[in-house]
Amino acid sequence: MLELHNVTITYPTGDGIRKCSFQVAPGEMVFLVGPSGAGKSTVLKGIYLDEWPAEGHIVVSEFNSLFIAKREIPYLRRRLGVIFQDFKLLNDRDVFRNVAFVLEVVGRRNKEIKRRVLRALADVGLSHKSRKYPQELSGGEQQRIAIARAIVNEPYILLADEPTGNLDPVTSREIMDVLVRINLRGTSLLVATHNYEMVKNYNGRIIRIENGEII
Amino acid sequence: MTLFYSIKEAISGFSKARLSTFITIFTIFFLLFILAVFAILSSNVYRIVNVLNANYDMQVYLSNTLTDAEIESLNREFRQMPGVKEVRFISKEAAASEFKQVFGEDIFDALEENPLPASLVILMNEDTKVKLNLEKIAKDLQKRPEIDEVVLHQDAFNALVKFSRISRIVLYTIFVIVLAGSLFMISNTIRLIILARRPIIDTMQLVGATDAFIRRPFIIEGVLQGFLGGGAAAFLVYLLMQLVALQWPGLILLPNYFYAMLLLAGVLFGLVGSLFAVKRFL
Ligand SMILES: Nc1ncnc2c1ncn2[C@@H]1O[C@H](COP(=O)(O)OP(=O)(O)OP(=O)(O)O)[C@@H](O)[C@H]1O
Ligand SMILES: [Mg+2]
Repeated sequence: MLELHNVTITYPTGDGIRKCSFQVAPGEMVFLVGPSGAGKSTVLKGIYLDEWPAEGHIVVSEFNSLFIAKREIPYLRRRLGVIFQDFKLLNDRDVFRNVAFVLEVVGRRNKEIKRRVLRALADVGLSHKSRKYPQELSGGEQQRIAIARAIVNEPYILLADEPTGNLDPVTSREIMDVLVRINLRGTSLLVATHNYEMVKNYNGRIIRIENGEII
Repeated sequence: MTLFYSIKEAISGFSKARLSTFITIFTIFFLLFILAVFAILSSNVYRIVNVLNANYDMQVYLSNTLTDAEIESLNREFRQMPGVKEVRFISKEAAASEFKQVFGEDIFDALEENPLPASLVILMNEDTKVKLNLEKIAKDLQKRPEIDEVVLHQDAFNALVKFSRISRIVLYTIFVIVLAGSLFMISNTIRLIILARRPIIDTMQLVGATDAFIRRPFIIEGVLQGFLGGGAAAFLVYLLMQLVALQWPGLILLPNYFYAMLLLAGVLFGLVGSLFAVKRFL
């Protein structure tokens, strides 16, 4: 369960989002669509509490932004898989360890880490690149690694920020297929994108955002 | 698993601030070593004085004209002086044979007559030595006709007594410098490592790492630096003590826990320094 209730997030510059409300039901596929600068990333940042709602509140599973303690934030984030717009892959370690990293953070055992990472890499079709470093990969491959990292801990909901941002149509399609497949296994999916044309091909619910407001 | 991961990260952190890490370890080592040497000297100052200055405190060379009876009465007089522990008579013959021992040649080879004067060696009590003004006593004795010359064997002693007085102050001062210096160096190195890893730290936070988990490698880094610095200091002090013991056995008594304490001091500095850096910069 993911709910936003009248969420306002304001940056010091005055931009941000205003009074945004929507919900994502378990297993649902939702697209948050809007032009650049509309506030899509800001919505997602609010959900994983990188930005804090100035007004309204956000509910993720058992966590409510009104009541959550700072030290509980890591546990909220562990419920989410986030594919960041800028990937946030770590250049000092190889693909395997980039994905394993999420499980190391939550203190999983080595054997389990290995099993889960290999499965996540297989899910995104990159098992054979596990010893490469991120900077040795193409944009599409980096995107897949970001997906593998987001799903490796079996999140409750997957947040994807512009997952096909700089990719050609064929690669975009492949990436979307991966996400849809994960959604079919029961993980809720919230994809933020400016690409309305692409979104139309999938039967997810569409939420439109413009100038920081949901329309 | 988690701890293993933290240690792995800690060691890889070193490679991100290699020079700074090395300088920090060296600084901790150097400062702790100086501290240790001062602590050893100041806690063993009386023992050092005793060993280096064990044979006599004041040697009174007697005039050649004195009879055995006169020497005996001087001997008795010295014995009754306050603070005197023991008086030993060194006859002309004994002086000559000592000369032979020290210089390896017979003094009679060159001279027909033994030119060495007899002497009385006065050993003072350890505890009164400090308070008595031996210089004045020596000067007074010097004036007496039956006495040729008085030699004080206490220059080194005086220096050491002075040293022991100021060494306590110096010790505390050094300790403060060591503490501040080590803490600063450690927290600065940790700061550099944190800066180098900022993107990783941010990402860790975004994927749900707890603060404790993120901090642990840095704490381990600090403790490791302190451990290595303290360990090196303990090792060098140990070597030094072995050397000193070869030259002057029993000169310095050091409890075994002294080395453990050096190591512990390093570790504590590392812990506090990195805790500070992590609280401040993370
Ligand atoms: N850290 C920030 N500080 C100040 N203003 C910001 C910050 N991040 C975003 N903004 C502003 O907030 C508004 C919404 O930004 P946001 O990143 O959410 O847009 P977006 O819909 O994700 O755009 P894009 O498709 O280009 O990624 C924009 O006007 C942007 O300039
Ligand atoms: Mg964005």
